[in-house]
Amino acid sequence: MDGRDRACRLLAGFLAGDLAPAEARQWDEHLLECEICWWAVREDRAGRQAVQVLRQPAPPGLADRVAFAVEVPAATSGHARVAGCAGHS
Amino acid sequence: MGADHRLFLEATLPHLDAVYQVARQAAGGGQDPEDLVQETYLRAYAAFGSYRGGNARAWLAAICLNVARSQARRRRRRPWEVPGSGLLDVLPLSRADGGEGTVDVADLVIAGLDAEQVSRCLGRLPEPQRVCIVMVDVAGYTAREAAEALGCPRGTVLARVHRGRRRLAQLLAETGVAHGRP
Repeated sequence: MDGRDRACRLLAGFLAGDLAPAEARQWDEHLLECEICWWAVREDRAGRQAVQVLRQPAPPGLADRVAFAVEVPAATSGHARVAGCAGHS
Repeated sequence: MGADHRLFLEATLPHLDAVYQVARQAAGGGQDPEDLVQETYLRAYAAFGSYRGGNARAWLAAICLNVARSQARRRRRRPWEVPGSGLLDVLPLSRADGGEGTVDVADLVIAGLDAEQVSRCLGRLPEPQRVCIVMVDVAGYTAREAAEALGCPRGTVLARVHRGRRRLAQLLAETGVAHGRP
């Protein structure tokens, strides 16, 4: 692991709240004076925020469809059928 | 319905929404996310006899990703591939040192980017980063669950999510510039 990779993992751990309190405090202080790391934090937040627009609830009928799909093969053969994978169970 | 069906559905249906989030992003061209979810559940049910009661959400995500990959392989297409994003290949990167040509990515995001734009940029990320972001940030898996599903250490998931978010923010910023936004 090179220095850059280590720094990335440390920062990722900091953002995930993984670091010990003393280490986290050091990062807090570091971020006050290091523009590069502060920028990295802002990009991290921006990226996380952006993908929230991709969330879309599962369609209302999907649970019924899945339950039905599981029930039918089990009721007819006692085994779950794997669609598109003939010869395997 | 037999007892094993009930057990299976009770253990797995509460995670349908999370699996659907993964399926929506994992489905390649020509794949329907709902079909992918159904196939995931069928395969999970087929394997339920050997399921030892670990984290069902992580287990389902791993199956979903495997199904998406194998179906894409059959179609000779890679999953997660987003067509028509060649424009992004020629755009310059924003600079971490805040040099000329950069934009404030946080403000850009707040200014509102549509889902298609975000999806296209997400499609430009390396697959490991993309998968981790989808699982953690979109589908709401914990880093530990994602690590279990992907078979890698939790720290690796965190690092991939972090790198992926940053790259995504850069790509989005570039897209914003390309579309004339500040």
